[in-house]
Amino acid sequence: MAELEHAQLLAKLDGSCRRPVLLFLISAVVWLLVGSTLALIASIKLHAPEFLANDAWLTFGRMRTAHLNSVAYGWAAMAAVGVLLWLVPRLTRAPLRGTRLLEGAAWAWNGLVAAGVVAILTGYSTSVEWLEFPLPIAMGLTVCFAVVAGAGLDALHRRQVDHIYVSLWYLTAVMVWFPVLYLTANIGIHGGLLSGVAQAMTNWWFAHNVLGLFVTPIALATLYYVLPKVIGRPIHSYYLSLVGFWALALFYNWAGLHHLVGGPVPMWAVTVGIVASMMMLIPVTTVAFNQHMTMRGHFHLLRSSPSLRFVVFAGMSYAVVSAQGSFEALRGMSEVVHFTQYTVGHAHLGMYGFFSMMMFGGYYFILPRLTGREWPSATLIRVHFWCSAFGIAVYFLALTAGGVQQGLLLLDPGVPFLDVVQATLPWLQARSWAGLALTVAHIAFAISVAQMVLGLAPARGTPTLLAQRVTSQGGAA
Amino acid sequence: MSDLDEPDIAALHKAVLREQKEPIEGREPVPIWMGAVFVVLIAWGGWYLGRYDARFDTQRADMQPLVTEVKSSPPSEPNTARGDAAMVERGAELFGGRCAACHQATGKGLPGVAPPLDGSEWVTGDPERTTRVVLHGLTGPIEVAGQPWNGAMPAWGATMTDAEVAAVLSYIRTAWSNDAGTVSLEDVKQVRDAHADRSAPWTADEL
Amino acid sequence: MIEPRTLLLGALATVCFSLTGYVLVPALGVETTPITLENGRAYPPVLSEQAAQGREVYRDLGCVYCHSQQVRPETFGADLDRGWGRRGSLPVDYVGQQPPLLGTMRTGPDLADIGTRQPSETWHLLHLYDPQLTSPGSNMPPFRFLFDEVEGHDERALTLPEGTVANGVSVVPTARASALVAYLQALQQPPDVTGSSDE
Repeated sequence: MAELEHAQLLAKLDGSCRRPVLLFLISAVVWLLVGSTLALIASIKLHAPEFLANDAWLTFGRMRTAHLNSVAYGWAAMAAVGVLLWLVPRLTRAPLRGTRLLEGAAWAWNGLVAAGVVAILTGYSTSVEWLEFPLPIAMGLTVCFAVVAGAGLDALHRRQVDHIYVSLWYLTAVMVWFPVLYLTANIGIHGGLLSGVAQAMTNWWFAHNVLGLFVTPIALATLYYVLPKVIGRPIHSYYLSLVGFWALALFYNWAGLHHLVGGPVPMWAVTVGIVASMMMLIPVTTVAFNQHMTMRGHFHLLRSSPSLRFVVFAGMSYAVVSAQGSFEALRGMSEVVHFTQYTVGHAHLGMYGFFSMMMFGGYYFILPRLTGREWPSATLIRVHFWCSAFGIAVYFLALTAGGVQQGLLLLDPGVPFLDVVQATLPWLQARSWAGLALTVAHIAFAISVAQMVLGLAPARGTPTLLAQRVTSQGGAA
Repeated sequence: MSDLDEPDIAALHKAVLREQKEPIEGREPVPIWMGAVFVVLIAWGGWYLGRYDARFDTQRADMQPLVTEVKSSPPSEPNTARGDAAMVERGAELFGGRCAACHQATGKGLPGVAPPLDGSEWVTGDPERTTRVVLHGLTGPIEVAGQPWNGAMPAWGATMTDAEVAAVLSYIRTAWSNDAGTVSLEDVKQVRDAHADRSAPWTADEL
Repeated sequence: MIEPRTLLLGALATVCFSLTGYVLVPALGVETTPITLENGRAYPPVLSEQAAQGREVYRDLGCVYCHSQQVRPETFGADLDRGWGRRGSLPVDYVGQQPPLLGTMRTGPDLADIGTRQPSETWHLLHLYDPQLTSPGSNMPPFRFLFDEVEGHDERALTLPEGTVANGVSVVPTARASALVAYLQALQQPPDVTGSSDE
């Protein structure tokens, strides 16, 4: 009977957050499709410059920027907030309050991102990387996030648990970090308080921390929740979680300045950025080790569970991309690969191979619980997973190899610049094909999600699995 | 969503019913080897911080020797012995970076912007004259290889050393179909000194 | 056992730690006013009105996403050997810039000192109209939308190779194109910026 009560509690908690979470998650998928389209256009333009070249709004500088902002603030941020709002009630055992306000925040968020993307396409971008939205739009997003953080902290305050689980550490920290980062950077940079090199430093302090102190913690919270939940055993070690969390909190903050290695910024700041980047090996090792030890003996579940498959892929990408990022920051590495496509490959392994795949895993776990439906087609999930996994692998390998070649050629003054350009073109073409695979994956995903939320998916009560379970263990998809 | 505010058994999602327990943490210790690796890593961090701290001088840019200490000459001085292949090679590099945008890597020039260098009597003729063009620039109408041109060539004297000018001249005088012999550092120095007070670009008539 | 207040204060502390180091210290410590050179001129110089408008064109078209504006110092990389600058860039070069367009990609070459390297207005206009005319094989997009096609002869028209546009049509740069070129011509980092700060 206790089990039944527990299930009733979970259903109540899920119900409390259902509408705003669904709104955020569905909006995120729409932005994912918009962002993929913009990405494909931008990617093709880089090796076929005559493609769609006759209008200012279609030029590469605007398409690429519209892509980044629609996936960063539309897809990534809205998916992250959706997952956060679903996790918080479950982790605090306190039903979410203020859901009307949260729904309003979701609609406003959509409107603001749309306005921001239009602003970029029509020439109102600020050309400050990751902060391209004009100040009024950024202020609007800050208010929306304040509503989200307020609802989250309110639930934390009313918590019905004694022990705060590791996922909630990360989510709580995000509710502090993101407003501080976003507000400081926008007011300092767009409010006219900072100029010149000081502004550039603030820019990269922010831009790296969007990844480190916003999307990464939410993805790790998802990993720490979904992994033990699907396989049905505890996370290996509380102490490793503890080291990982505080090391991330301390070191990620300082890592951003490696983006300015060799630039006209204070040497000490770059040095601190490099050291902090290397220190990131500490939290990454602990998370990877914790994940591996928890998974040990349960890898067969990867064959059947969609959420587990995406989440574990994401966790492995996290280890790879973070280790790569640490060494990439070193001056010797940066001298070659900074300013090249290598960085673009790295950024996508992080934002896609790690973060987006983690969110996909979250969706596959969450949506059946909020819609009362099961995923309509295992085939669609397979198409999604394999096109995503294959696409990001090709993307990463092509730009990594191409970037190293580009960097080495740039270091040889005997190679004319146009020859360097020519050498990168095949890699950029491969990237477009990879982008196409990712877009196919997103279409498959969007079809599945649409069927779930429109009530077209089955409500049969057994999970949609990718393969027959060999054991009866674990019913959660 | 009213059905979810007051859940009853019938409204319970089947997905929730089949769920595992809420996650908890195990209490395994941090492995000793991992702790040891972290200690070594942090020690390295301390060393690197000390090695490249630049005394936490906010005015000192990354990898710059000293903020106000600006180099007076480019780092690589080519071997300037007359006819040295290394000089021509360095000249080709410099040409690629600074001249090819207008005169093109083929030396054929760019219609409406820059005349050809390949087969140009202004290049293969008196090297003293060509040196003056590179050092101080050229403006106004000029006839090259039978075609009229009217443009502006920038002065490179202020941004290139004598050795670099000599290397570029040697390259363009021997590249493509040109076969007019190289120019030495001393030749360039002589021309520069002879026209030390020249600041305006030359015109074809003056040359 | 972690308490919520430990989490909240700890998170606030770590972000304020780096905020102080990477935002406040540079804001107060990096040069923010032009210096006076030994020849008495202020550096960096104020952009002309047209060049300042051109900087806005550079910003709104997103040039910064392919072109950096920072020359690496002689001990790092090959920028000086490539002729991209005459010295490594310094904080003083960016005084007053909002935003500083340092960039992080070199899909195209660095432009910190492009005004010195390529002073020709004609070249820049041709290159913007169709990069293939000046730089065959480039993957820079053409910026034809910065030019007007007008009937008949116009003295500001570009000299284009035969067949680029229909007979009797002239390609004339818009004010935006001319402003952008004025900005590019103004992008210069002179070798000697030794001088005194006004502060």
